[in-house]
Amino acid sequence: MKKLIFLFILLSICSFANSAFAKSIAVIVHVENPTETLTKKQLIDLYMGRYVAFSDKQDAQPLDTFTPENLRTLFYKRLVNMPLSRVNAYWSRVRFTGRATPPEIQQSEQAVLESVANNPSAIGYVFSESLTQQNKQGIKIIMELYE
Amino acid sequence: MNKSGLLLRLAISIGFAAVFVGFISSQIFFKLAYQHNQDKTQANIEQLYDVVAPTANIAAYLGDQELAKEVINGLDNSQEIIAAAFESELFSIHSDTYQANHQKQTEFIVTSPFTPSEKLGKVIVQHNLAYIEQDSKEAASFLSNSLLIQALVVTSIAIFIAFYFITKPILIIAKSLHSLNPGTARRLKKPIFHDKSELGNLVEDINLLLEKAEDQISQERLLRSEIEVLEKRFRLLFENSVAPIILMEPRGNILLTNNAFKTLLERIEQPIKKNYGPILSELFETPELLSRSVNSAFLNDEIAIGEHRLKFKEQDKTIWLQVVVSSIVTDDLKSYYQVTLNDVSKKRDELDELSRRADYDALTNMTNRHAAEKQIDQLIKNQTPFIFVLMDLNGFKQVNDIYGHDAGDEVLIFVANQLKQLTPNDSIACRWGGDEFVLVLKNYNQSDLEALAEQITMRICKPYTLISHQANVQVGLCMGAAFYPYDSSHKPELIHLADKAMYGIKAESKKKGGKNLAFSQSTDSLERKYE
Repeated sequence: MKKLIFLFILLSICSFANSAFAKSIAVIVHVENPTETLTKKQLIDLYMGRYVAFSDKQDAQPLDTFTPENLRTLFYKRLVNMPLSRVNAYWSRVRFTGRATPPEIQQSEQAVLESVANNPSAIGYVFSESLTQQNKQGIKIIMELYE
Repeated sequence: MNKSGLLLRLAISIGFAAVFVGFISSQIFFKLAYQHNQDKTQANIEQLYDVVAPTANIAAYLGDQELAKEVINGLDNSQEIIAAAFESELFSIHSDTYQANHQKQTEFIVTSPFTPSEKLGKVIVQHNLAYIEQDSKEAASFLSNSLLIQALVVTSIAIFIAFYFITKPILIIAKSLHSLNPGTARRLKKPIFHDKSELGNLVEDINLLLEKAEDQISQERLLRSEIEVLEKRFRLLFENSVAPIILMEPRGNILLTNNAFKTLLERIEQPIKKNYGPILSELFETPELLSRSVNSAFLNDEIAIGEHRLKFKEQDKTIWLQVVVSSIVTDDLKSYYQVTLNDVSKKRDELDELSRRADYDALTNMTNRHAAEKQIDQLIKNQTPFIFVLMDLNGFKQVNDIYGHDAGDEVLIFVANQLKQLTPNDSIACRWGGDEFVLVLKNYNQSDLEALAEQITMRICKPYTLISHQANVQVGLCMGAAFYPYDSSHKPELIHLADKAMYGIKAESKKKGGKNLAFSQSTDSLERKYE
């Protein structure tokens, strides 16, 4: 038991050392999107395919991104507390009936930012630190996910 | 097979017990199996639901009916589930066999796959009770069938064992016991394998009993043969007894008699009867005397002995019997009389003869002097007047001397007969001794006597032909008389006076035609004469 506790403490220290964990994730929408804020539950329902529209009936298009490498993993971890594999498994099951579709995956944070800026129904996420004054044009942060 | 035989009973008992136990245990087993199956089904259903739970959660989360149907179908496919229903906010799906009120159903809460605290609906699973029951029944019937088979096997083995180890030996023992006579030297054999068993002990005990029985029977046989011998002897004694012996009840019912009694009855020509009254009283002349003497003897705890005369005679001959009666009281307090009769008639006759002889003269059959004197004493006692006449034969000595004693005897008998014939009935004619005779005449006077004396003289003093010698002899007579109470009131003096008177004329009487009767001179008259 003592050994386990020791191991756990060791692991925690390691995690803090990893700066990525500390990074907050900003959930972004088009600047003209009337939605000002979202609850975590609303965000889950949008990303897990339950709802395909914002609360004001406007269509919602959730976006995923491949890079940076751990952004997607971290996002789902913070959102539904699931590893990416399980999220993928969920989608593979759901996709079979055609009732819902998984979020569209962009190549990079940059692509996400562009898509959101250009598409009023899009919703995406990036590391908060990746946002600059320049690329903040045309988007707004409606939520931030922390550790 | 015997209806109440051990084997059949055993078989029926074991069979019944087996069936009973089988029935009860299969019932219990069914209940247990049913319960167990229910629990198992519950667990299985829970397990099954665990498998479909993520899908169900997703279906409810997304409102995906297809996915929900998939869940329901998956559940329905299980044998243990008869119907399932999926109810959520967005839809409600039931399988075809779903019933609103089912006895046994389990509800599972469907939550959001991402926020487990968020309830989205429920899945209702209805258990297939018929299947559970069927399954339990099958299990129970398998058990009861196997129990039945086991019971059959156990029963047959029990019967086999019982037959070979109990019934058969018992039958063998019983058979040999049946053919065995107690009292013989034969004994039972122990059955094989039963040397130390209860049956072996039983046989030992039986043999012990047989031994005792043999001992007892042989002893009894010995005793019986002894008794038989004794009985034979007793019977011999009883049957051949000369004296009649009768065993009777006090009331007179005769129980046993011997041949002598029958002979006695034949002698007195009486029929053989069962009862002649108490103590045979009907047969005796004086029954009251008999019963009195018997009663008084019994009162004094003595044996009654007495001589009694029979009422009936044997050819005019009186029969005297000595009657001995003893009272017998048996162990069971019954009273009997044993009567023994002895014929004492002969003795009685002899006694009579003896007493007669004491009073009579043997030769002449006349009263003798002793008896005559007794009678005279009696007359004097009664003061009856009489005449004492003493007579003496003349010439008798000569007859005796010439012809012998037998001739003398003949003469004496002749004289006696004459006297007997001539004297009146109430008088006494007596041979006084030798050739002297005496007459005692009651209520006679002098002239009566003189007439009688004349007759007597006429009869006696005539020639008499001696039968033994074919010769004529003649005797004379001389008489002297004395009067009572006139001459004397004392017997010796009376005799003396008569004697004196007779001798006074003795010489004269021997002459032919001489006086042969003389009266005594009383003392008074003598004195008068001398005056």
